[in-house]
Amino acid sequence: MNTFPPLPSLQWLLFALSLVVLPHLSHIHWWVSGTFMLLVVWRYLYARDAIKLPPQWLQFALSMALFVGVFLSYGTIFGKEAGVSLLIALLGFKLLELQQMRDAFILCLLGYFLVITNFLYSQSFLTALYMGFIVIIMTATLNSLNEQPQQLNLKKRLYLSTKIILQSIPMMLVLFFLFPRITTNFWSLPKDAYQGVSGLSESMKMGNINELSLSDEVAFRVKFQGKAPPPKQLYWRGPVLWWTDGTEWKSGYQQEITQYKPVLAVSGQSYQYEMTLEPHNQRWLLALDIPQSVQASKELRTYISSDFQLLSMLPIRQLTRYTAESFPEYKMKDLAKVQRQMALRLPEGKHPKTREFAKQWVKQGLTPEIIVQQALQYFRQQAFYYSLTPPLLTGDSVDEFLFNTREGFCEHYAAAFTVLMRAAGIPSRVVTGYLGGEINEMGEYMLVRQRDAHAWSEVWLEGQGWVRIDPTGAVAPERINSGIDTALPQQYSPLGMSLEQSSSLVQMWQEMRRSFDALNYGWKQWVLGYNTERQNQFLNNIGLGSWDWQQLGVLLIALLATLFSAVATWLWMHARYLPKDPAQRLYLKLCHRLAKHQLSRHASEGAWDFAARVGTARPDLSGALQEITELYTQIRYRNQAELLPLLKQRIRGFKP
Amino acid sequence: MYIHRINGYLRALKARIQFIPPQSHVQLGRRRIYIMPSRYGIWFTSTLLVMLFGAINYNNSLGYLLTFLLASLGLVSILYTYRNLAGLRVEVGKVQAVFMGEMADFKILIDNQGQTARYALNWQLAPAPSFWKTTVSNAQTCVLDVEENKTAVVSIKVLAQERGYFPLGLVTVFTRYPLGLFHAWAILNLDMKALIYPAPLGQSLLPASSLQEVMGESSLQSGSGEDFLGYRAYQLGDSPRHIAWKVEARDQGTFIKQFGGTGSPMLWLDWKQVSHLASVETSLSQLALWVVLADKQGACYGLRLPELEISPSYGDQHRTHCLQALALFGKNS
Repeated sequence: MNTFPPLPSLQWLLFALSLVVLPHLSHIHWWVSGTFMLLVVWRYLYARDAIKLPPQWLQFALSMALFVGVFLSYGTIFGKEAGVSLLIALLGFKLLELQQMRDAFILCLLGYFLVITNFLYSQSFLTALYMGFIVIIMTATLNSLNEQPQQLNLKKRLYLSTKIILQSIPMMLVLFFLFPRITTNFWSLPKDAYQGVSGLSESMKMGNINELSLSDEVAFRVKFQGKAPPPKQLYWRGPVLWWTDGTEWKSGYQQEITQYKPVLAVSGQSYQYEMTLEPHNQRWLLALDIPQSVQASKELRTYISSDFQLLSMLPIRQLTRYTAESFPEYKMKDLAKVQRQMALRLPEGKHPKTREFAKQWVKQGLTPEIIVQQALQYFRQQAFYYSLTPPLLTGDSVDEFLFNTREGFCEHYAAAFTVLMRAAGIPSRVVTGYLGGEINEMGEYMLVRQRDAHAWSEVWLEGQGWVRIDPTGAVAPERINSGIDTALPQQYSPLGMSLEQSSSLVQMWQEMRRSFDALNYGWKQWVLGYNTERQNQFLNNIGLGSWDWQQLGVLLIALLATLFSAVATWLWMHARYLPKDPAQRLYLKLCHRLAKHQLSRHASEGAWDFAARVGTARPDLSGALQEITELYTQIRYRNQAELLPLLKQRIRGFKP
Repeated sequence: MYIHRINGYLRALKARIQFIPPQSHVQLGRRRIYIMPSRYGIWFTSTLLVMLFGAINYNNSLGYLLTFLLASLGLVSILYTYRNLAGLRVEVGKVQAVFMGEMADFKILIDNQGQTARYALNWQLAPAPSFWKTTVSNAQTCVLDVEENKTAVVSIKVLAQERGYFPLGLVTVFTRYPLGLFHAWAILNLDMKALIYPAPLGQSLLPASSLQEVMGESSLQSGSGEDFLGYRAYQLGDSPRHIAWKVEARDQGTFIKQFGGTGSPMLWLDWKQVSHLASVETSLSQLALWVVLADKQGACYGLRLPELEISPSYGDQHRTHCLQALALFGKNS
């Protein structure tokens, strides 16, 4: 019964499918992967005649139970996670049904399909390499299913499937770069299609540690035209938060605050740069403080808002590239009345201690500039600490923080400072974004990670406009000057060990990380970030910018045809009979020439028999052919290699 | 509609192919090899389309990359499948004569002059399973590999259903190697015939009347008796066992040592003895059985048919001669 597929083919199939399911283990429920593994083992033991298959009714009942199980675990049977789980479990049940060629083929197709589902989770270079390996194994499996009556040995089969894949790569590249890229959604995407990966969020809550704040994930990469700004100017502006209820800060989007834009006058040095932003499923883009202009793809419809954020009309769901120009030095005037009100609003009856504290400055009749300095002075002189694990804030969080715990990180300081300013009658707001970035010399760009997320304040000073004040800098100046790594306590050091920053091991580790990231950058630029925009840019660069899609289609097909013929030629050259012996090669050339005149040598016919037959059919050739045959047999069977030039000459002169 | 059109196209092809005159050898080339996607190829393409839509929908670059890689893989596999047949040389081999009702065994020589091995070549009498079938090999298919620069022999067995010369007919060679996505095939018309003897059926007793007749005519006949009778000149078809090698060695010519005596029966198998039987075929079957029996007993026998008489003799060649006469009785050739 269990004769199909042959055991080697089955082993290949089970191996390939297990490999493709492996990366999914981290995001599907344990029971799904458990079921799959069980079924794999079961099918294997069945093939070894060790156990029987479950009866049909049980198989059916189990697969029904599976649908219910997936529904219970995920709340749906659609969507990314549920879909993948279902696919994997069904793959397992299909294994039990595997009895003939068509089942095996369907399993291979599902295997290929599972490869693509992996890309919904990770598109890194390493993932691509691993998946390439799986495609080779899967192709070898398909190959093994088609091998009859004998199976090739392991080496030959792997060689063959690798060769076929390598020969396919040129055509793949042509398709990849020239196939028209359109941005459409054929079906609405499941809700879990894009999970926000960001150190930033729309709102900020004091005492709520953002889990991603220490993530090594890349937020974006920047390529400056010319020199990069000094570290203390590396403020990457993100969401601006106006509204607070005492604990939480939100953007407080309202028509009034977006309508009026202060008049901006920039001066000094400008920085132009290209940003490559990782998808975060939010509408904001980041820019160096303060952006003056931006250029991005038309679909995104980016603009600079009245609070100088870069915003897009659509959420960023893919790697996005844009260029911007920023000026660290600027002046603004004309703060609209509604905006001033918004920037002064504090929730009723909250923060009594803080208000009291600020009022004393106002009573002294200090100017806003002095009040700002006083506040920073307060942070500096009192026992405030920078900590990523501050004690929990109870009661009125701002009062508690300012006068009691005095331990926190950027969000605490920014929020508390802003409240203090508003209490003192100075318009202020919280700005979130990133601070710093590490230069990658190999790729000549700057890398900003999620852990560089930061929050600071802006206050409106007459004659200057919105001025950036970073209260964290008053407490932990090293956070601003040399990045978060130095500001953090030892337990957050990169290798998870207590090592000095300067130790050579750490440097080596950072070096390695940099070169890997440079590779990743190229990968992102050319593979992951290759979209409609990039394709247009690429076509422009190779001088095809003015071609329409019809012309490009013809080009695509022509290139494919060329590559196809190139592979064909390669294969033919190897299929042709090319003996090693030069004499034999010459003789076969002669036979080929004679065959064109309906005088082809039979496989069983010796050289002399052939010469005799040709001699009777074409007496005019008899003499020359006799001589050639004599020479040929002398060289080939009597080792008279010195006659070779003569044979060559005679054969060249032979004209049938 | 699509399938109909393909079927029409195939019928036209078939008609064209059937005009090919029988050949003693064929080199498989462009004009001979046809290639179509198998059903698996269509499934594969459909999966790729789904993957492409997915890649576009999620704007997933690696999704695009994988889809295009697999598409190119499919294209390259066309070349591999085609090459698996291309350049193969097929030659007519031997066919042993058999009795009706037995399997005629047609041996076809395959000569792979190329530098790559050919795998999973399926040989079968036409019509072979269509490219659309999911399972291709069946009991009638002969599957084999041919190593590079090697030859191989395929034997196609066909039930002998009619006496006389039985032509092999059209043979299909097809392959789906390496990935099964494409089905390449060639239809060959090889000039091969098997000689089919009448089935040896009927009375298993040799006719008595014929024996008496033989006895009356001559009491001393060469045959397989034990007494040495003398020498005679060699004739084509004599068994090498009876050649007088000592005489041969003295360069005095090739002679046959004759043995015989009263122990060796001699008989005539005559059409008249069987003409009362129901049909010509039954009569021929009876004669064939007698030939087989007489040969087995080592008798010296002759065969008389209307318009043909084979004088009494013995040995393999004589047996073949007689059976051939029976096989071709009444057939114009």
